[in-house]
Amino acid sequence: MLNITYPLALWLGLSLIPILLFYFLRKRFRRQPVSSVYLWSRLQNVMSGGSHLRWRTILLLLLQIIIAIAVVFAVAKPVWISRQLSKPGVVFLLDVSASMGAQDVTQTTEFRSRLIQARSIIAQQIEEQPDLTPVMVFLCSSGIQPLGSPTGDHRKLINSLMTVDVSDAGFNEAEVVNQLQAWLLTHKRVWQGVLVTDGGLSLSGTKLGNLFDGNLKTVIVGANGNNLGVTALRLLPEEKAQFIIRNGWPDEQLAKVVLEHNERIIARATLRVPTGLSNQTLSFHGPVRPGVYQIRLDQAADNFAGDDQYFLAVNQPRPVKILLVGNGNSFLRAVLNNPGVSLSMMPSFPAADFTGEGWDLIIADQVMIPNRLSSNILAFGCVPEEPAVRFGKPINGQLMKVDSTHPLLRFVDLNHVQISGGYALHVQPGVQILAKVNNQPVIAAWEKDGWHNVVFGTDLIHSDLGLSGAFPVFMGNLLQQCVPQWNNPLIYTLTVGETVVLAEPPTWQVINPKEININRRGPSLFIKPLNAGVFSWGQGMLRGVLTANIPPSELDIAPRPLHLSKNSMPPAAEYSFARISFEHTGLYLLLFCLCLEWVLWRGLPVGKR
Amino acid sequence: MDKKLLNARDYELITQLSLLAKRRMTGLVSGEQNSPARGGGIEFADYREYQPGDDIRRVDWSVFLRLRRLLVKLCAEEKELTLLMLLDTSRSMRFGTPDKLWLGKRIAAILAGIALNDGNRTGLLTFGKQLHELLPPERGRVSLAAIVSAIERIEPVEHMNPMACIRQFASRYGRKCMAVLISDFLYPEWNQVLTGLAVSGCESYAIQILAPEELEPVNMGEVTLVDMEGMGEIGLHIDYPMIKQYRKIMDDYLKDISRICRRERLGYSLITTDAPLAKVLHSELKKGGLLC
Repeated sequence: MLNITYPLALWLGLSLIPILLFYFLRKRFRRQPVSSVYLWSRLQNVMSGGSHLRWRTILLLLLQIIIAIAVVFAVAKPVWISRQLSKPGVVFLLDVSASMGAQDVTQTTEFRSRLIQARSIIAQQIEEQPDLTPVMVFLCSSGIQPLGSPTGDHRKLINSLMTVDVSDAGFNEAEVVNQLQAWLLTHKRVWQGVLVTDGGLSLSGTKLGNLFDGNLKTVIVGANGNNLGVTALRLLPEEKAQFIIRNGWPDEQLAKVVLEHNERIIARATLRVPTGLSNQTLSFHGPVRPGVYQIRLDQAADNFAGDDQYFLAVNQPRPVKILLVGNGNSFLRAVLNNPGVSLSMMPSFPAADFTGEGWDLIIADQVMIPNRLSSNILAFGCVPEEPAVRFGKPINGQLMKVDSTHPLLRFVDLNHVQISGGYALHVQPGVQILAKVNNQPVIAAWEKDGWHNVVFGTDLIHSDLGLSGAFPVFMGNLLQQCVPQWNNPLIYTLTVGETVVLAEPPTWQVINPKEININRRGPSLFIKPLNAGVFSWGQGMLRGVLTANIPPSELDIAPRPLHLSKNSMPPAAEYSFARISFEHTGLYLLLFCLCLEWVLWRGLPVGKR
Repeated sequence: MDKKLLNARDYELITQLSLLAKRRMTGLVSGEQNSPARGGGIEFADYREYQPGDDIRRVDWSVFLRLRRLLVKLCAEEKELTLLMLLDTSRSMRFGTPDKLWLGKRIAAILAGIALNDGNRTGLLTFGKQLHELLPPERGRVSLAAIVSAIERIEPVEHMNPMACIRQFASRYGRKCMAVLISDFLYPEWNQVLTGLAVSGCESYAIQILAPEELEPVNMGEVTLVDMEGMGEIGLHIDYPMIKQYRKIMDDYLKDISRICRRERLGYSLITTDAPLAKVLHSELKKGGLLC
């Protein structure tokens, strides 16, 4: 079916009338006097003569008509749309989250894992597909991992499928849907989805079902949720360890738990565990020391070993290194009077080549700030030498908080704080305004090369900021933003498949980084473990540990159906629309005909005599 | 045409150049050209036996001492040259910018001036239906103005019969003179004309004048070519391949003219209307052996 994008352009077809009129009415063969036709007559004998001329002019007329039609095509942009029946491709989504390692599926006399059952189901369904039907398999956990590319070679795909193993991550449905959506957009055809899972999807399969718009078939594997698992180990001040045990059995169970520090047993107990989640505590002797604390279930009588242990990383507290440049004041010192803060002071910035490297935060109080500092900056009554922010006219009045979700304003109410002296800020696009006075910005924040910059148009002497209850919270937010691990000792205890951000210097590195993804952006490290385990890090002479555990959601291995809005069987075939655009065809035809006309009229150029 | 045929620079050229005759001239009056007559010149020509009445001063005594024979030294006697210019005045000579006839007239006037300047005789003949003797051969510098004036009055003729003209020329002048034929040779009888000029017996030189547009046509597309001499019309679609073909025909035609001239021992020069006249005289005609 031919569809015209701009039908009005068809009126250009009327240009054929003047072309034809011009062709029939034009005065041909202008008279050109020559001294003698003696040589030209010899030439005429050589050339083909009158019939040659006639055919040439007819051909030129045809070309002009085609050119007019090509112009109409190029402007009207016709599109040919054809509807055709096509066999849809099949996308198999194999859940490889940690719970798929549970060995609760019976086969004759022995148990095997849910993953093996899922692989067999997919292999069987692939074999049932007609030959050359495009089939694709994705391994799904914290994201998707394609198993090759869409192929009609089913045997090869099944062979690859049999080598797949479980991961320690959970099924992050949002991430899986995002990545799958991108893939489907780049592979334009109708795809049916087949999801083989034990049901432990983070969003209960709602988004995944919507993605396939009813063409998603789900197969649930797994026998039961009979399982004991341990997670969320915490150390309490009173020489106690607290943790959570999940009992998936239908009745109360006895669990033997062992607490270890650096693989040395420091406590052991047998606990009565009720059905479901229960908080448990275990006493041990001695202070909390840096290293790896591990709680594990000893001789757990279940079919899933992945959740029988949990690692907790304990490191030396990392103080926030702050440099206060300027006079400072009692308000600032009071706010920064924290055992987790290491504060240094100096009246002005030292030498011109001072880079600020090694400081987590530099606070400048009414001093000149040198350019290109490699640090987070908090400035009172002064601005860094860069075009992002500069001072405007003097202001005074009451602060008005702006409607912003900036993390620095979390739990911070700056309204009605009195400013008795200061300057408005002129800010460039990209700079976020945090507060205003008389509708003029006075507090602004922006990020540059990963470093945070916060500027106050006033200082703590000429304002009531230091007296307000919001100021310590604001500073806490700032320190949390600059050093995420500050006040959070659990940040070194990671979850497989989840990314955490740490502020560590460039010398900080993981010693055995094989099972861990690390990306650095400015001062921030983005760390994502791929498998559960214990990792070591080093920074100069300093050593520490990182641990990774399976997500707590994976402790619940009870198979459960998905709540899909449409859970229909995939159709056997689907209509697809082939769209062929002639938008450029007209242009190419036009160019080709113009070139041909030129050649026909003048011939191919020859060199000078 | 309002322009003067010769300007001051052309008169300078007349004084700078001389005609170069290859054969010895025959004439009644002594001039600056060699003649077949042996006599009182200074250039040695031959010996002959002494005869009574010969000037005793012409006996070569050194030969007598060696051979014991009285031989008289003969010298070539310098006779005057009769230069005849044959100018094609057909309508095809009106073609070009400036037209070919204008250039031909200027060349003829300058050659006549050179001849007169050397003390020779010169005459002007034009080709038309019949050979028209515009100026009979004259001598003396005083007649240059008359020649120029006569040349300026030349107009193209309606019809031309080159064969008849060349026959008339051969019958009237024969071996007695030096002839310079100025034409575009764009007529089918050019071959017979050159041969006729050669067999007339006079020392001959052919100057072919063509317009640049004739050597390299620039008109493209559909044109009707109209012959200026009324020889018909041709409708053509001129494109690059046709121009390439025309070039080949033109090259063959020019090579044929050059070959015929060489065979008939005629001097030949091809001149285009856009070439400066001083360059034509100093370069082309000197190279062709007409001037020195």
